[in-house]
Amino acid sequence: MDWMIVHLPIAGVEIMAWKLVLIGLTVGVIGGFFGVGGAFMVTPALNVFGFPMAYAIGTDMAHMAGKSVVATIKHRKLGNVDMKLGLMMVIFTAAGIELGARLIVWLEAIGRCGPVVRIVYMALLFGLGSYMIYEYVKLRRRIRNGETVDDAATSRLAKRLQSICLPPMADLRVSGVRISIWIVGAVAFATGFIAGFLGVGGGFIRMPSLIYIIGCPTTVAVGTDLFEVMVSGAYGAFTYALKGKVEIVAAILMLAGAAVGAQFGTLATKYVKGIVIRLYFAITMLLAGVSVVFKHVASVFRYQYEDAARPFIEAQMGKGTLSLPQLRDWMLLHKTEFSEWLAGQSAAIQHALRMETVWNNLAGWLMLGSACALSLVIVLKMVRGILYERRLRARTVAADRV
Amino acid sequence: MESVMAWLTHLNSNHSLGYAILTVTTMSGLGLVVGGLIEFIFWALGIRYGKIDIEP
Repeated sequence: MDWMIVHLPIAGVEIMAWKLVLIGLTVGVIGGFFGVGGAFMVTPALNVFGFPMAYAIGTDMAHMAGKSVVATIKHRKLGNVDMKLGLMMVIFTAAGIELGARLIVWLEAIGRCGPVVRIVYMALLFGLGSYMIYEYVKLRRRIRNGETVDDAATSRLAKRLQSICLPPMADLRVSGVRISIWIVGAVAFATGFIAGFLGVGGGFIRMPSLIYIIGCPTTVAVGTDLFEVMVSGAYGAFTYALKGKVEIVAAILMLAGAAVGAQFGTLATKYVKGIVIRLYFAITMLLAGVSVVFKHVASVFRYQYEDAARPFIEAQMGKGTLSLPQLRDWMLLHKTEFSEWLAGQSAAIQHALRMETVWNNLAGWLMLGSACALSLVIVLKMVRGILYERRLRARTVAADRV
Repeated sequence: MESVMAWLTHLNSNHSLGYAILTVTTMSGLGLVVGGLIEFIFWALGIRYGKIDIEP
């Protein structure tokens, strides 16, 4: 099996090629199905397999740039991409991302970045996930009582916002919505701001916003969001590559899996009802929330050994007080020196490092395991859908003959 | 393969703009090619794009 090992000199990692293809395949299925980039799954998974965090994010962005092209083209063929809405949103999203990123820089400067971001992330994932499950249960009950439930504009908020006549108004034919451009802009700006603040693509927040605030049908929300992911992925890949943080060979291997997975995921949206897509999405968000909790626990242990290592690192660098990113950069670049220092430390410090690794790995494996399980369910739905459609077609042909 | 890796590493360290352009074009181009290829396979298998409202 040695031939399957790839050496990635840019990130300084050796990894079995199938692991990268598998990550790409699973996240491709999920991305195509939900209309998200899937950074919240890929980044921890790559990190577990030994990629330093910056390279994990950069490589993920690069594979996302390719994967979203595949998924957007396919969604467009299915009539799920509202180009007018997507293009309008891109401009406001970019402004929001910029403001969010500036807030992060300020939080980093005052040393509060990590915990604040994680808490906001957890609140969003658990809040949105729980709301979507509540909404699903409510709609299911109405369907069981014999009511006809329209997938589009089911939220009262969307209907109320659509009734506001604030010119200029946008006629979004694909979405079947007429809404003020200012409302679209405000939604795009807010979702962009959150994306920039959390340092993610933002698909997980944009997709439900398109459904519950703008009032798009679920499949159009998925397709239009992917269009945005395509633009933001290309931009993200460019900036990270400019900083030298993209492992292009790993991104290509992931894309090989993701391109296939995205086709499966996109095709599956044809066979699964909108509210079921929302249910799966909600479950994914809750699992991602649990993974962020694990990450938060890991960070508590990290702070313990970082505090202890600070005087040693500052002495090694011959500088005064170092910022947290500088401290982490040194530890990343001087693994041998850090290990030597650690060997002479108390059992409590060594335990903190071990526990940080354990919790980080738990978070990564949880995301990887959920991604594999979820993509398997989606592929099974797709296969059942194709077979069902074939049976329907065969029955129609037989009826025509009679 | 090793020479390609060495060239990529060199490009990454010395020509960051070139590396960034190469990354974006390679990924988008590959996405188009692989997507087109699978599209053809789906077409050959007779999987159509017409929407059907079912939940199997």
